[in-house]
Amino acid sequence: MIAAAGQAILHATVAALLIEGLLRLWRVEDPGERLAMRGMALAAPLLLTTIYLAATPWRAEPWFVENWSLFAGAHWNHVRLGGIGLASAASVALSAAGTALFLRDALPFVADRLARTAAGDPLPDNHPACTRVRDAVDAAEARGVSRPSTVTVVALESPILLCTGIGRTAIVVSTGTLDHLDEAALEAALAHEMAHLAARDPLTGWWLMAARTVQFFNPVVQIVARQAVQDLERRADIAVTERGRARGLADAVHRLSLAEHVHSDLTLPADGRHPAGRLLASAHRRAVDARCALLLEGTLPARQPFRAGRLGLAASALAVLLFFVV
Amino acid sequence: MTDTNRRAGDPRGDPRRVSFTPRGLARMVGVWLLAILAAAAALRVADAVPRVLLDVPRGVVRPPDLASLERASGRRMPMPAYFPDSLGWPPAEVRLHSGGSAAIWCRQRPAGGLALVLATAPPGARAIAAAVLPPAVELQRELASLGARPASVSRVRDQDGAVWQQVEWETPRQIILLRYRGTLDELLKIAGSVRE
Repeated sequence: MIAAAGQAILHATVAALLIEGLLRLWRVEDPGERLAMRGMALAAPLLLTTIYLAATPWRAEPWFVENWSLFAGAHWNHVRLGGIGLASAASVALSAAGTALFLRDALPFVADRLARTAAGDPLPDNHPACTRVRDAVDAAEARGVSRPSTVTVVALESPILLCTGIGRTAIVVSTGTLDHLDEAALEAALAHEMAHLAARDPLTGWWLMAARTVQFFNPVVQIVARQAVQDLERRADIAVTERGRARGLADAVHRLSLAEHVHSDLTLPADGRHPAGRLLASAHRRAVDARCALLLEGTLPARQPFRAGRLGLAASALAVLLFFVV
Repeated sequence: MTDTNRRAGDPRGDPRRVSFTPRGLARMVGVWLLAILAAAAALRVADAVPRVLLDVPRGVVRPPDLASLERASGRRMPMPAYFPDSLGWPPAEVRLHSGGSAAIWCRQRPAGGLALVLATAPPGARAIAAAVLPPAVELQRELASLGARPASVSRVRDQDGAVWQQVEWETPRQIILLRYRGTLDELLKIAGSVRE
């Protein structure tokens, strides 16, 4: 069990480092492509490791380990720490770290779902807050963003701004959010959530959470999944930037990040380069500031040709390298 | 694959797409190859670190005990019925080679230097892999017999300059080697008591 977990962590580490290296060397800036490649790094320890363990058990035999493998975790077990091999000890320690990282995000995730259901009854359509939100959604739709199936405004002091739903999409806004944002910031923030819905990001979010849950012990998977969430945020930010509302969105991000008890993805980092962004408060602040700076800068990432080729090359590199890591 | 960031609202067509060039494709594949080679090299280096630190040759694993060695090799180690009191037990080192050779190293008691090496190679192997044995130089070799079996008796010198006696013979099941830092008579007594 420990050996299989150790191999999954080892494979995830190699996959994540290779993918990060390729992203930098290929100068991939498009968050959609970055997301796809990080998805490979997440899937590799789940799919490739399982397939290799089940279909090629002979990879664990000495002749393969000693003559063909590029890296064998078992070799690090030659180094003993109080009678335990270093690789085994590292597997246990990293599994504990992975579980802690998973719980650190899973518990707030569950609390967030509960907060949505306990957010209270929606305000009536003729309430001024609903009118204000409706106008902002209309304005965002006029700029080419798809309208959600429903928009719910709830009376709650805590700022809530979330999108949800896959087939039947919805945006939930609290009056606390409306108190913090002016019209331009509100329209940009709603456009951001609508961009998430248009890209079916709630579904991607569920896939990411499923991958994290299945590999709860794997700290590398937990970190890569966080980076993937930032890619989702960056992609929605770009959609708003393309519609000329980057300044309003930066304003909304800044204001909501300063508020307390916020439930919104707008307070997350958003360029996929801050894996520690949510671990330390100072790092998180810097990452959110970087998101605002990127929005105010208004630059759009280059979308390079031959994306499918790059994805294919990255996948084949993972398949080949991980086969020789035992 | 040039970097062509543009401002939002740039009116020149699709502002985010970079045109395709053969040179860009070549760079993409070249970078991919470079990344794979660099990753493979880095993995090989990381793999070699513990072996270099502990001076274990490639191809050799060190099971934690004799039972693990027998599980990993799939065969029982032959054991001498006569085992001098001066030797320590359990073995100080257990080695298994990817080719199937296996060895146990025993020290003198208490906490002395190496004094006995018992190594085997499976049927079909031409010889016992040198990687499971302590480094040594052969000084002299003679043919002899061990009971009814032909054997090879030799003297070897280890890295510290100490001279060891060694006997090697073959059974239908395996090749067996005993190297002992003591007298030849005692080595032959140990070898004669080996049961498979």
